[in-house]
Amino acid sequence: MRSWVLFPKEFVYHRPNTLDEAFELLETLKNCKIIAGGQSLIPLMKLRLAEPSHIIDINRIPNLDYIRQVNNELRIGCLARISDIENSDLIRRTCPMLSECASTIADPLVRNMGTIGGNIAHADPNNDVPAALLALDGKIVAASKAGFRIIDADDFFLDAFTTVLRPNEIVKEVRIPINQNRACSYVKVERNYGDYGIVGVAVAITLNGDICERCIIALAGVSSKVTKAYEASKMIEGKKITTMLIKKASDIADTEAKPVSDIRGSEEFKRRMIRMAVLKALTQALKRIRKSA
Amino acid sequence: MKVRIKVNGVMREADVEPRLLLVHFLRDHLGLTGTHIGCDTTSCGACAVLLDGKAVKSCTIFTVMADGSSVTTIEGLGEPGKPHPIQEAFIRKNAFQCGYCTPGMIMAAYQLLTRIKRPSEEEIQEALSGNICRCTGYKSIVDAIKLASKNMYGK
Repeated sequence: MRSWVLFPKEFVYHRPNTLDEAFELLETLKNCKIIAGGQSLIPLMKLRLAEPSHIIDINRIPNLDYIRQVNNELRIGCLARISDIENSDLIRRTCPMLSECASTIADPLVRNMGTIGGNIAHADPNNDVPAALLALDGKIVAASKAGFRIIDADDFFLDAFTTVLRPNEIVKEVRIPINQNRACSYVKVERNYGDYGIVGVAVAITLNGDICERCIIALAGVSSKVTKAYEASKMIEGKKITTMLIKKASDIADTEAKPVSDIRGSEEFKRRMIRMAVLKALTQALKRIRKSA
Repeated sequence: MKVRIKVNGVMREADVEPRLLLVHFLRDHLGLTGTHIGCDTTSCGACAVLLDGKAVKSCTIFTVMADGSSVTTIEGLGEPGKPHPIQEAFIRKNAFQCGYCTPGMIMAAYQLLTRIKRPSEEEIQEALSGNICRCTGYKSIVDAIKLASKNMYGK
C-alpha cells in the first residue's frame, strides 16, 4: 500500500447470510461495527476516527431492502438505499416528504450505496432522516437475538452518534404512519451539493378544517442531535394558519437549537438560516395544503 | 479473503485484505488506472465506477463488499478507436482540460443516461452533483452530456 493514500486499520471481515447469523456475531464479537452502505463508516475508518476490529457486512442478507405499505403504515427495510427511497413511487404517493428528504442527502453516487438503516443508526447530528422521522411520528424496529422492540423516533436519538440501540441490536426497519391529512416539507440549507447541511428542517402540519391540529418542526444539524422546535410549533398549534402566523413562528424557530460556530458559519448565521429554512418549509407545507383542498 | 469480481466483463479473482478499497484493487491490482483518486474523502467523484450498474464512489467501498458483483470502469466504456457516444461527446465539446475528473464524470453521465434518456439541464446538474471539476466550470461537461443524449436517443 502506498503511504500517501488513506486506508483503514486492519479488521476481520464477516459476511453473514441471514439475520440470525448477524445477531450471533453481534453477541460474540468485541469492537465490531455493522456495515451497510458504508458511506459514513468507511470515510471515518479511512481517517482512523473509527477502528473497529470486526466488520459485519449485512448487505447479503435477503429481504431487508423492502419499501411497502402494511395497512396504514409505510414499512421500510434497513437496507433500502437512499436513492431507492428518493425514487420510490409508493413513498412519493404516501409520504412525499421522505422522498424530498432523501433527495437532499449527499449526492447521487453516495445515495446509491447509503441506506436508511445506516443513516439512522449512525446518528450523525447532521443526518437528515432522523429529522424527517421525528416530524412523521416514525418508529424504529431494533432487532437482536433476543427479539425485537419498537422505539419511537422521539426516544431513539440521544446525542451525537449515540442512540438507544444496544450493542447487540441492529436497526431492522423503519415504520411511518400514513396520514393524508398531513402536509409536510423538507428544506435543507447547504453551501453546496454533497456538503454537510447547515440546517435541515422537516415540518409536518395536520389540519382540521382551517385550524392547525398539530405541527411538528424537527431540525437537523444544529444541535448535538436532531431537535424539535417546540416553541415555534406551539405558536401554530390550535390556531388558524396564516402566512403571518407562520412568520411569527419561524422567528422563534431557533429557540431550542444550539448551533455551533464552525467552517459553515457563525452561530448567528446558523440561527438566521434556521429561521429562514423553517419559514420556507412551513410556507411550502401550507401551499401543499391549499393545493389539495 | 478470496474475491471474484467481474470487471469490464472479465472475471477477476484475487486474494485481498478486507480493508483494500475497491479503487486500489482496480488501480494497483488490475492496472486499471483510468479510475482516479482525487480527494480520498468521498467528495470529488473522480473514483466513480459502476457497481452492478449503479454509479458509486470506489474509494468508499471495500473490495470484499464487491465480491460476486460486476464492476464497470471507464476502460469498460467503448474501446480505443471506437469511443462510447458519451466519450465522443466529451471530445466534441471540450469537456475536459486536465482530465482528472473526467472518468468519474463520464460514469455519472452514463448512469444518468440509462435512467433518463433526454435529461434537462437541471437533471444533468443534479446527476453530476457528486463530481467536482476544477478546470472546466462544468458548462462544457453539461453540454457534452446533452449532445450524448441527443446522439444516443435522438430528437
